[in-house]
Amino acid sequence: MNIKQISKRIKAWLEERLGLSAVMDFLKQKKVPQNKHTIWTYTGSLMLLFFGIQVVTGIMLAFYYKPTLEEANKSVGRIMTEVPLGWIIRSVHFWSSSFMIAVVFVHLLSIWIIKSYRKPRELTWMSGVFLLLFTLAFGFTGYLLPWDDLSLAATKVGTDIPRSIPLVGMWVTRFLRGGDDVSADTLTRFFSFHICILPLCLLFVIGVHVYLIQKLGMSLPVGAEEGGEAKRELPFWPNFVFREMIVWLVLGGVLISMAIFFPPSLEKSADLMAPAPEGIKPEWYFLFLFQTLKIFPAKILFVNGDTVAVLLILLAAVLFFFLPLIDNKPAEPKGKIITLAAFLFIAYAVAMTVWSLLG
Amino acid sequence: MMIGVKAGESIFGEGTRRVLFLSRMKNNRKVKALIFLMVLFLPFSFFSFSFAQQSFPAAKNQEAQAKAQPEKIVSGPQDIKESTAIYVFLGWMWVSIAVLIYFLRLKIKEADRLYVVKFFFPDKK
Repeated sequence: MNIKQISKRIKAWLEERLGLSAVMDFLKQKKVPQNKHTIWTYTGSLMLLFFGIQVVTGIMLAFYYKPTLEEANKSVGRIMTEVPLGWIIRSVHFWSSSFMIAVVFVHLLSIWIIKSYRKPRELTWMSGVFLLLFTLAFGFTGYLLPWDDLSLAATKVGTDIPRSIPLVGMWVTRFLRGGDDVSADTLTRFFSFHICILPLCLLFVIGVHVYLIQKLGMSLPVGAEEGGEAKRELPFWPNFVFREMIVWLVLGGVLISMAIFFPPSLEKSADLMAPAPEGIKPEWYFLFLFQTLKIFPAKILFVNGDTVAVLLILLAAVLFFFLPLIDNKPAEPKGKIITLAAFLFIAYAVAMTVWSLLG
Repeated sequence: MMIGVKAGESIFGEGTRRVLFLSRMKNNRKVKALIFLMVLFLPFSFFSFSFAQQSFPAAKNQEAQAKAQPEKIVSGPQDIKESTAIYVFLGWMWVSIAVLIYFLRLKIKEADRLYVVKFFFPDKK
């Protein structure tokens, strides 16, 4: 029996048990609409690419990381200085998290602007918002793990924000910290969230999101039917996948180059008793929220300024989540207001981020 | 010339030609894929990529822990050997990406052409 026959028999054996030909047939039949907004569809698979990189590099880091007060900072230092190529693995993990968050932001904003969330894709949008939330939670929980002065101070500020929410605020803060203050329990809690709970949640939401996209198909932008763009489409396999591969290669190359030229450093181990260092700032993706909280005065009439700010941010998040139910008809004037809101949000987020960076 | 076959026409039917073309394509593809994979992974044999293995002795590790902790650890290559290896790797990576993109562009052109002529779905012509 030659190699060809053996591989044929293995294929037949697997086919009988897994039925993979049905999946391949589905991919061959699947079509991707071609229009001026097709470029945004690449962001979806890019998110999966960066998530995959996060998982692989995260597992490698977990081989050496120790989530205890005494060892957390030392073990990260050891990864950076003693483990062969450890600093690159940590740097790739650090940069791919930023890339992933940027891609999720761009993906959601593009969906918002081209209004692909409209009926029947409301649940696809909502699962996308959960994806954004979980991705941000990954960034927030991962930031504490090196356990240096900066990460401790940022976590103290970050976990203190929910305290301003009436009724449940205190409980949320205690739940996040595992006590009244940031301590060893917070570190182990964040570590569990980062490597176990959040990956499971994210995988589940990605599963739902991908299922909904396959079930409902990719949407056409508003006006594409009249413009004659509806008929232009491309097979997913191999035509679209080859195009996606080019984007993956380029961004993968950029990621590795960034990781080599701009690796993150590590400050000395955090001291729980020491005062917070001056000029602490969160990661770039939280800067616009951080600056929003800073510009609110201490008191607005008789209410605490922080409470007003947090409640306004929560209201905006709820409106964002229920956007498909607010803009539920393809009526043009309403659509224009929603588009304007998207551009205003982008302008606001960029302005606040720049202000925070300069301030 | 065979009886019943016009000048300039193949002795094989349309179906036979397609089967021959596809089988030749498959064979070529396998050889190309094998060469491609060998070229792609060859550099790793030189770099001795050993992330998951401890290359430092336990005693050295304890010694390192006993030292006073520095104020700030800056990431980067440990020595000139690692630094050279990384820059060589970076150069090789970008050259590989450029070559792969070139081949992918050819594949895209071919895939688009086959889609336009409805090669894989002749019934829908």
